[in-house]
Amino acid sequence: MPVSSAPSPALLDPRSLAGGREVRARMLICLAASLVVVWLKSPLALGWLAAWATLLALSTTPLRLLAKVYALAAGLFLLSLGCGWVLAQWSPALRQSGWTVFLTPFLRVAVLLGLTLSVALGARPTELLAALKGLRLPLFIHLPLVVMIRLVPSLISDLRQIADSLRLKGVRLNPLSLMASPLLTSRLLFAPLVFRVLRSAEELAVAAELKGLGQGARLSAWRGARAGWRDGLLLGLALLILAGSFWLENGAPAARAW
Amino acid sequence: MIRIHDLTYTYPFQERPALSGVNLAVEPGQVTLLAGASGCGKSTLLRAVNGLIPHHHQGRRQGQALIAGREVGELALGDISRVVGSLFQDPEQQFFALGVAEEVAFGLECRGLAPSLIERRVAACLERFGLTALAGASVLELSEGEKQKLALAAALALEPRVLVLDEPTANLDPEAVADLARILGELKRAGLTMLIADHRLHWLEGLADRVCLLRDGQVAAQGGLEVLADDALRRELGLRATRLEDRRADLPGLPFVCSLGLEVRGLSFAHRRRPPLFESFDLVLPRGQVMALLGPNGSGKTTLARLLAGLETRRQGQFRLDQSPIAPARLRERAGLVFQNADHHLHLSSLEREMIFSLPRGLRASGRGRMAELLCRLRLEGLEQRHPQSLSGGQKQRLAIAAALMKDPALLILDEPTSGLDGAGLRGLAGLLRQRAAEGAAVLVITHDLELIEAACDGGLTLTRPQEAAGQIQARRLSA
Amino acid sequence: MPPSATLNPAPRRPYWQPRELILVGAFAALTKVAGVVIALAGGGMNPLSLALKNAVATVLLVVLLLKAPKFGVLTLYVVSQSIFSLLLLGGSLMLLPGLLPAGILCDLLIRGLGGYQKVWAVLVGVGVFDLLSKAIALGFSFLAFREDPRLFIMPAIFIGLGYLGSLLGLAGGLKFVKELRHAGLIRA
Repeated sequence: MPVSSAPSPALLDPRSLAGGREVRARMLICLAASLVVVWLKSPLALGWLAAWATLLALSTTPLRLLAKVYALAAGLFLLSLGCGWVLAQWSPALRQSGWTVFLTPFLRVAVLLGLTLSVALGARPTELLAALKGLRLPLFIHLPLVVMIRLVPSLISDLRQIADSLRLKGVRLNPLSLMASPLLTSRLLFAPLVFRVLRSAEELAVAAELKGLGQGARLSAWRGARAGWRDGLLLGLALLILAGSFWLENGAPAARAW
Repeated sequence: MIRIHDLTYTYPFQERPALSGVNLAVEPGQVTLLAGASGCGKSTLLRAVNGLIPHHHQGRRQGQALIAGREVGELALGDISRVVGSLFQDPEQQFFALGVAEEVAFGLECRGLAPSLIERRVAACLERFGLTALAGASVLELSEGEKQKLALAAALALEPRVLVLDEPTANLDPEAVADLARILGELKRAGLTMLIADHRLHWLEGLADRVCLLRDGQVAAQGGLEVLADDALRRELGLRATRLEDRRADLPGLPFVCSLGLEVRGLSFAHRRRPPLFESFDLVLPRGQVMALLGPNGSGKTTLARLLAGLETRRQGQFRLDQSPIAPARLRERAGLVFQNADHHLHLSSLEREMIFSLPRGLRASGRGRMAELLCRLRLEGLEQRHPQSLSGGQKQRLAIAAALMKDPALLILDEPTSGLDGAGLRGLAGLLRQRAAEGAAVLVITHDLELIEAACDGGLTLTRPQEAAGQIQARRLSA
Repeated sequence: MPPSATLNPAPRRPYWQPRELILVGAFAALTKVAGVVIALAGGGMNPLSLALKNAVATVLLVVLLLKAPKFGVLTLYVVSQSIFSLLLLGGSLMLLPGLLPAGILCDLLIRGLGGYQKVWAVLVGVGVFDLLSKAIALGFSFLAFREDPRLFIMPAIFIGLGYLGSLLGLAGGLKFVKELRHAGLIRA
């Protein structure tokens, strides 16, 4: 059945599916920053990184959401401090003073939150798939990731219907009922989903094998996101920012004052 | 093109063979229909042709399955799939990509073709199936007919010479079935060899050249389409009708008032951040009747069913059951809703638990009598301790219906209950719906199935898409 | 027949089959969806939902290892989950360097105990993996909060609760495996 006789590439606008939005560059930055923040101690250096991470996050995340996430992190830190204060009444070793001692770990978490949000909310699933394709990962890593992204919307839809079926049977689904009978509620919700996933995975595997997947041929990457000038710019900027944080940590006159 | 010689196959951990001594020959360019009751071995035979047996499903296999003169057991699955394309009942389950164009490209990428060649083939395939405008869409947004076309486009992008189709019309409405028949007719004229397994038979007139009827894994009859003219044989093998009249336009409409039943007045509803789906909508579902809810994808059939079952919160509107106002929370207690996918209803580890759990908490202790009666009526007796997930598709669906009937609902709603049902199953379901109506329930069935409409429905209501009615859904009362 | 349709004898198959890789991806997605749903349904960071989230994840991991019984599947699952968390859920890759050797170690442990067909070997492997992953998370928390030990208290409590949930999940996993056998979906 020759179907390639009428090529009309113009019918497909590549921009409609163009993806990536520097996802790979952001992932790389995230990985590098994850390692750097553990090493850094200076609130100045970490603050510098946190400001940059916040700007990067704001390029993909609504301000309100970002503010909520940071507020939640701050709340958890304050809760930790409260617990620590209570324990310190019995154990003098836990008594610490100085706000920088609190600030440093908080800034570390803020950097990580900002950077991971910039990746997580930076692309639609189709763009993520294009970015993954562009990474040319080995099939055994690429395939599970593709399946995860592909199945999440279906799983959410399945879960909704399972929950509806439970509501029809008089089961209340709310935080209170989850707390009152956690094991039963989670069984009722998730056991049907496990069976569904087992079936879906089997059907997807059959379809994939019938299309020739896993037969040894190397997958070609049609419309895999390619690294562009924006990726280069972002990575270059990231390098400068990270170098700046090292300078602030060790060499900057201001760092000595902390 | 396809030669099956004395093929016997038994699935792993099974004792009874799924196929037993099957012989079949399909010549190039021929369309052959496989038919038979659920579980007769149709899908297994297709798997033997497309290589899933023995490459994906192990088990015991004797005999031969030859494609283009080569034994499938000696070939790699990838190589078989260059010659044999496959299409299944639920296309969404076989989509690997989220985008329409990417799905067509997926098989080509698996073959390692050059991106420029993939680009050309994808464009050509999408154009051929009228999907070019949807190239950038998500596969999840498509109608069932569009999904089936996309699956077909993806299979044909690999340029196979044989196409096997497993219940391709199970989820399609009559218009999409006609569209599929037209496309397959074109492919036949272009020389494609096809093997089609389906319960619905009426659409194959003029398309299929030969018929192979299966019974318990064996060939019961083979020949031209005239084999299907034998009513007694069709009934014996649990087949559906070969000719159907589209009664949708002749169905009586719903009444405007009723003394006993569910009345909905002035219903308004919109999904979040979407235009209204229903505005000032009225509906009457009388007790004692089976009503069909018809309409294209996106017209709000499932949403209406959810509203009637108390699962959605309306903006405005009044519900009255037997003349008395009723709140949505109480509607959930009085309505039974069975989704298209029965798996979503099955939560527990045995049929008995599933049935008892479907009763309100206070009535569970005294529900065994009703459970036994319903399981018997739905031909599930003796399976009380079986795990629901170990049942066949038809049994699961009957269990979901039985569980919905446990609380003796005043309103019973079923969403596409006949996909995948053979003739016997369909007639059984139609009888059950009629019986439930005779017991005094109002029954509403969302369906595209012309046979079910003919066999069970007293009237119907057709919904149109909001955009087709200038932003407002309108219920067209048929021949009221 | 066009050249692309030449029928060749079956070549040697690669170590990972699509069905195993797809199963890994599907279970990793299910674990993430279940985790998010429990966190939302539980109303945020309450201790019970934390434990429950871990319990469900452990049950699912046990089922996966019995359904895709092949050396390396635990490691692959860990890698997939970490990258997916980064891409869609804002998770950090920081734990991956620790989790990777933990996964390999536990894959080796399961193989050493008799393989993935033995339910108790899988349970031990998953139990040890949960312990190691929680220890790694604790270690990372200590590094991140080393300036103020008081801040380390909350993560330690959360991680401890998570491990309690994982232990509960091992028991739940054993029970669920019995159910899957009853349903004919697992032969181990």
